[in-house]
Amino acid sequence: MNEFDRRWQDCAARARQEVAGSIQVPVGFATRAWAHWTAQSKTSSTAAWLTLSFRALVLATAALAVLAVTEFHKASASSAFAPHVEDVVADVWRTL
Amino acid sequence: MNNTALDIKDCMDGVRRKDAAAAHDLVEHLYPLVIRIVRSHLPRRCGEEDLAQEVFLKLFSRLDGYRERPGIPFEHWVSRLAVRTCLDSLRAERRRPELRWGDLAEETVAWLRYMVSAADVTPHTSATAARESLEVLLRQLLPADRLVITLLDLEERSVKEVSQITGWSITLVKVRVFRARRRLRKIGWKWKGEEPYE
Repeated sequence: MNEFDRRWQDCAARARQEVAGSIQVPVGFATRAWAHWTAQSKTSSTAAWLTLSFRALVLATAALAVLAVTEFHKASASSAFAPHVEDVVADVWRTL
Repeated sequence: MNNTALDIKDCMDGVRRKDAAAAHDLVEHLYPLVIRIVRSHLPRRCGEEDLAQEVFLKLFSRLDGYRERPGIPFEHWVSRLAVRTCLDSLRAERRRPELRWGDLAEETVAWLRYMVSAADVTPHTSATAARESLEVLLRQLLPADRLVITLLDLEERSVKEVSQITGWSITLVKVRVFRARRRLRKIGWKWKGEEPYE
C-alpha cells in the first residue's frame, strides 16, 4: 500500500469513530415535505393542462391554415378571379 | 420485522392514495436512513434538510414506479434513490473549491500535514477534525469519485454493496475507486509542494 493511502486509511479510521448524534425528524419536516410535493404535483397537472391546450391551439391553427390554402387554390382555379395571375405576368413579360 | 414490512406497505399504499398521515409515517420511518446518507454526501453549499426533502419529494413522485422484489427491502430502494439524489446535487455544484491552508482549523491541518508529510506521529485530534480533513480532500474530487471513496472508506461498504447502491457494475466501481485513489494521491503530492509548514 502506498504511504499516502496508508495515512488516508488512518485518518478514515479516526473519522469513523465520530459518534453520530441522535437522529430525530425536525419538527414539521414530514408535513412540509408532503405539502411541497402536493403543491408540486398540482403545479405539474396545471402545467400539463397548459401544454395540452397549447398543442390543441397549434393543431387548430395548422388545420385552419391548411383549409385556407385549399380554399384559396379552389377559388383561384375558378373563373371568378379571371384573368389569372399567371396570364398577367405572361402579358407583362411579353410586353417587355 | 414482518409488522414493520406490513406497515411500510400500508404507508406506501396510503401515499399512493394521497393520504397525508401515511406520508407522515413513511417520512418518520425513513428519515434516519435518508439523513445519514445525505450527511455523508452533502455538497458544500446545500442544507442537509433541503437535500433530504428533495429525496422525499422524489420518493413520493416515484413510488408508483416501485416494484417490490423478493429479498430486497424497500429501504434498499430508498438508499439508492438518496445516493443518486446526492450525486446529482454534487454534480450540480460543479465548481470545486480551492484549498487554502489558512482557511482551515488547526486540527484539520494537522491531519492534512500528516497525510502529505513524512511525519510518523498520528495526530491526536477529535474524530470530527479527521472527518473534516477527509472532506477537504474529497471536495477536490469529481462527484462520482467522491461518492465511491466515501462509500468504501468512510461507510466501509463492500464493492458489491457500492455496486447495488449506485447501480454501477462491480468492474466500474473498481475502476472508479482505482482512479479516485490515484487522483487523491496526486492532490496529496500537489499539496505537499504548497504546504507552508515544512
